[in-house]
Amino acid sequence: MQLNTQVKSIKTLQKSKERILDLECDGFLFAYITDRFDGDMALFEGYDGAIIQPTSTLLMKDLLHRFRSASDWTARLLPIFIHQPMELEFKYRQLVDGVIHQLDQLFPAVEQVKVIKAHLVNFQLKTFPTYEKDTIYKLLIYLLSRKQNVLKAFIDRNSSTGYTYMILEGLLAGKSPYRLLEFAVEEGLFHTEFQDSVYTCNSCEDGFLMYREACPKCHSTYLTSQDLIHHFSCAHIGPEKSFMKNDQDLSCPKCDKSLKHIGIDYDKPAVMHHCNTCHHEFQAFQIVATCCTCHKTTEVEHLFKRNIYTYHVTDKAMEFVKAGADFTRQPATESNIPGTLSEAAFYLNMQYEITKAGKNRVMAGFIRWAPYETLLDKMGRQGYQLIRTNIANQVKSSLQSIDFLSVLDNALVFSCLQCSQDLAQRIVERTVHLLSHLIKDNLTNLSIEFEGSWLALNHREDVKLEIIEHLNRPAW
Amino acid sequence: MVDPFEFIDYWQAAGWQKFLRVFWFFFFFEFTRYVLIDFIVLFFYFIKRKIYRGDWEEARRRLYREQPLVSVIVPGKNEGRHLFKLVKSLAEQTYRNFELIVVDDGSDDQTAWIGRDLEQNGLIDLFISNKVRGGKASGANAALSFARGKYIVHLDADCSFDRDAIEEVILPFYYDEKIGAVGGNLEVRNHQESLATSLQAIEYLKVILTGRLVTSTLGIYRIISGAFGAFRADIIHRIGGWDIGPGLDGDITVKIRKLGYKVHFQPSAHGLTSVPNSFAKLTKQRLRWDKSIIRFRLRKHRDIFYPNEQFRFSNFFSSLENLTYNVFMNIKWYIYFIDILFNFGGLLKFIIPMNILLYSMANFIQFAAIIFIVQKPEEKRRLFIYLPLMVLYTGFYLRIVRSVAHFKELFFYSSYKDPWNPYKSSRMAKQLGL
Ligand SMILES: [Zn+2]
Ligand SMILES: [Zn+2]
Ligand SMILES: [Zn+2]
Repeated sequence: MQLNTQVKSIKTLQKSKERILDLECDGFLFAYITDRFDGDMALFEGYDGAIIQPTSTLLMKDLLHRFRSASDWTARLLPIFIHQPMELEFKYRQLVDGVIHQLDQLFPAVEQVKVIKAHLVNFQLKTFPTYEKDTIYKLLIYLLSRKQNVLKAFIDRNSSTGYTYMILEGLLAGKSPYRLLEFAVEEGLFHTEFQDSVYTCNSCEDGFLMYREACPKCHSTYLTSQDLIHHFSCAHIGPEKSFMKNDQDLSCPKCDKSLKHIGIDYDKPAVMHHCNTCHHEFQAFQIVATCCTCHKTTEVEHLFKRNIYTYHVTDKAMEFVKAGADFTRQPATESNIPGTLSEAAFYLNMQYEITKAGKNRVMAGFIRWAPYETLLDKMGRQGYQLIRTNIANQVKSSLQSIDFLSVLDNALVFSCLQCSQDLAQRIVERTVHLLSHLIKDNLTNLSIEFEGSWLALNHREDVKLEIIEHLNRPAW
Repeated sequence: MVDPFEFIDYWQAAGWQKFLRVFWFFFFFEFTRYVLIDFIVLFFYFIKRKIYRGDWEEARRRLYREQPLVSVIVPGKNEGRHLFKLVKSLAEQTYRNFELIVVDDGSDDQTAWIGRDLEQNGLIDLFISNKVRGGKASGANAALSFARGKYIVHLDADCSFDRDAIEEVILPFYYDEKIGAVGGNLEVRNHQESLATSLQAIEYLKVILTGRLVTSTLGIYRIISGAFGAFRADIIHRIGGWDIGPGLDGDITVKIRKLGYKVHFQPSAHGLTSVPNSFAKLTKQRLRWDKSIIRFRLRKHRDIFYPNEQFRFSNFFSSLENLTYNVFMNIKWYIYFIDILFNFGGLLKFIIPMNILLYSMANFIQFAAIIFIVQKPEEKRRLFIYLPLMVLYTGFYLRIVRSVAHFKELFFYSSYKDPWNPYKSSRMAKQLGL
């Protein structure tokens, strides 16, 4: 191997006690730093790559994340190499462009830099005002400039769900990646491959849960268990304690005989648990999970189940970044459900339709469900949001394409344009019937009741007031 | 077949003295017991009900003022498939303050899973699943161990109940504080399923409704069906719950009577039960029931006939009536049979049709009275066409089954070998003479 690395200079930066060593090879300039570097990312303007000498995995990971989440394109897309004798742990490989074992052999790195630069020429380095769109675009540019097509999740005890997408972690700065990735999949930029599923807190989506056996009535974990004893000759069954004459002898509280031989005089057909808090007797524990982050205790049946996928970049994504195209839809916000309107937008649209209809009346349909508080408490914010989304999708599928809807906390309002009162009534009734079956059947251990109603609106009325008044009516 | 004219001529010529001589069994035992006495007692029952109507209304007010907790207990093996229906029929009850305890007695099907699911969904308050079978009594006792109610209502899982059944079955406790246990009124649900179930439907109406009404009115009602009965919790705890069956229903009733409490039959506490749909299954069930009469009346509770300090005439007659009309009548019938064969052997062609005629007439009179007092009589009218068959059913079929059962139990203690109880329990019971 020929020696083709030239050390040009050693820079000492004003703000930083750390130094950047300039290395040049084949006309390409590399910044050589240690993972203690805490200077400004803008300093790497003008470099073709960076070489990091790691001192600890943690520091190295932090620094890599700083690069990949940097605000300017150069630092974010900068080819980075790790200078160490061993290979790099698999999960960090997506964050870097290679490992350099010896500083006098920078040639492979130079080749890699050339490839990345050649790719980047084809891409439009665009920014988007929406956080979700911008992040996805940055992610795609990074992956495609490296010819990486796969985004794999790695088990990580520092991640809130237990899984992390290394490259996204930097980009997201602690935010949850899942909603973002779902949006990217809807846009057709990734397709998914199932990897695992995990349970998370249904309120804060945290995966760090403590599981315990608890009383099914009050969730107390202060429990004691004892055997039931069946005395054959008199058919008496009772807790073992009631048979205890003294420390050693068993005698039947019903017939006073002493129990000597298990299998001959008596047996123990079951175990009973006693809750010392509410004195409930039971055989089946309720397994509960307490969230280590928000401290909410949830019955495990109502934990939030999340599928973890490996994401594959699609061909469409390549075209997308080459053309610098725009996204076709809006990302869902946390309380917003795709394909539905906000409450304010609904009133606005409705007002517009009513004006258009002139003297004719416009029908609005209503669905509401109960018990709201119980559902929210048991299922958590995440689970409840899923229910709202399911309801919205179900209702959407039974409406005409020109109709629009808005989902409120525990109700849903929709337009029935070009409908007579009779037809609107039929739509509402059919929808309530469908919901009662489909949603109810999918809820384990929880009950939900739907009711529907309809209202004719005309131009003389204040739409918003009418609708709110109708929604608050206790009986429909 | 006998010529009808010859038949009529023969009995016209025979005269009433010979008539009584030939049909002494019918006139002196069956007709007296099942028609004459029934009608007299029923007459008094209705008068009594009218007179005391105000007291019953007052009892209902007291019940609703107190609203005691009632523990509904349902022990059983492999009853999982009935549980949902049962739970639904209980959810409709007019009386709301009850807890439901279901015991799975070592089922080897899906029962444990079904019961647990219903418990988790809040439809069962406590589901106890015993991994090894202990027998019906131990199942009921397991539930009793955890029952907190002031009254215990014992149900079978394959029954369903009228909306006011629980209210009606605990009402008598507020009518008379000497009442310690109340039997509910079960009718046959699947009476249209087969000939066997149709005949049983008639039998249930006859024996269970009128028979129990009569014995209850006379104060000698002796068996509270485990499929639907209510008990005062303090009493049932005092006697330590149920003892090893079969016949545990009758056994616990006797024990309650021995303590000096009254046992009441409440026809308005109404439910439906499924009965064996074939004669083979029915025979098995009846062999078990009939054996228990020997085992419990004649053996375990024979002290009822002893004149000691616990002696009570009502208990004495209760057991005596049971034994008389089950065991001794059975034997007497054979004596009658031999008597006829020996003394009137040549006249069988006149005697048999007359017997059938007499019994059918008695059945008809009795059943007409039943139709008059039951709920939904229009549904029961179809059973009239089966009445002629009842002569064969009660006169021959049930009698033969009963004889076999008594014989086997008297000489071979065969109920202790019945797999209805686990071997471990039967062995101990036999050893201890229980
Ligand atoms: Zn005992
Ligand atoms: Zn508890
Ligand atoms: Zn949480």
